Amino acid sequence: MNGWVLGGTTFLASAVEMVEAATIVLAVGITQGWRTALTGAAWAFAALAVIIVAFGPVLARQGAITWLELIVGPFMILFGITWLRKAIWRAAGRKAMHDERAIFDKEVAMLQAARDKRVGFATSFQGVFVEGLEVAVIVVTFAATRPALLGWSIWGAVAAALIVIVAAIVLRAPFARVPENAIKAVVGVMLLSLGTLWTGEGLGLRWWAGDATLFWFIGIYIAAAALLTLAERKPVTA
Amino acid sequence: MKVVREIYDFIAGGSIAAPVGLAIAILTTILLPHLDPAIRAGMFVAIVVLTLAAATREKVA
Repeated sequence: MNGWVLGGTTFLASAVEMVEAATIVLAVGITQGWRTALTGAAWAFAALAVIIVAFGPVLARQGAITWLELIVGPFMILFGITWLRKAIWRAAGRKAMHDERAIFDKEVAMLQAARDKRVGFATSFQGVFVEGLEVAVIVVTFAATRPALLGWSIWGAVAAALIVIVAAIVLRAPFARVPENAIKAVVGVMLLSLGTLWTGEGLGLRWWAGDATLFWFIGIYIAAAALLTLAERKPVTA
Repeated sequence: MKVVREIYDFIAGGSIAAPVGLAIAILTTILLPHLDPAIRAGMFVAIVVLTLAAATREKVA
């Protein structure tokens, strides 16, 4: 398994989650000051780091990978289906697109009404922690199945988080034009593909092209997602 | 009960079809060991694709 595949997946997953977290941190920073916003975000990152450091190396040290694949693989499939079906719904017009500008305006209004700095801290902490938790779980589960590539998963997630947070602070505006839905679809396809590969291995299936079967799965799920988007599209009414 | 619901939503995104379909895919693979390995692998992937389709047809969460 190539480190770029796992690192790239955690990078994209982290990027899209951090775009959502950055909107909240930005709203807190603008209404209640950057100290409150960044302190809340820093504590959330510390909590996420504890989760990764506590569980990642422990799982990575496990000798028998097969049983771990049988636990981790189904989780990845469920995560992948959740991400991908939301992207399909949005692409098909069944669910509203994620509007960072609208979320930002709503957060600003709520924080201006609250005024209390503790609300700002809690909002910033919760925003980063909740959005980052799924990424932390993905990094830990990757560590369980491909221990040698733990560093790739961690650095993929950290790099994306740093890029997005720094960009948000510099630009001081929510990322309204980031193609979030397309990125979510890519992450969904990757999680589903990796989950299928690992669950199958855990069940004793022999994939026809070894680890390279992953690219077959990517193709199959992209095709399935495209067909489902067409099938789910609402008919245009005059 | 709320905690269980939160964990379920976090893992399965509130879908019923996804965990049920995945359970069918896993059980089918385990319970049919005598089948040709290539057919078992193909069946597993096909059931996961159908699970994705069923989860997408569910009510929008």
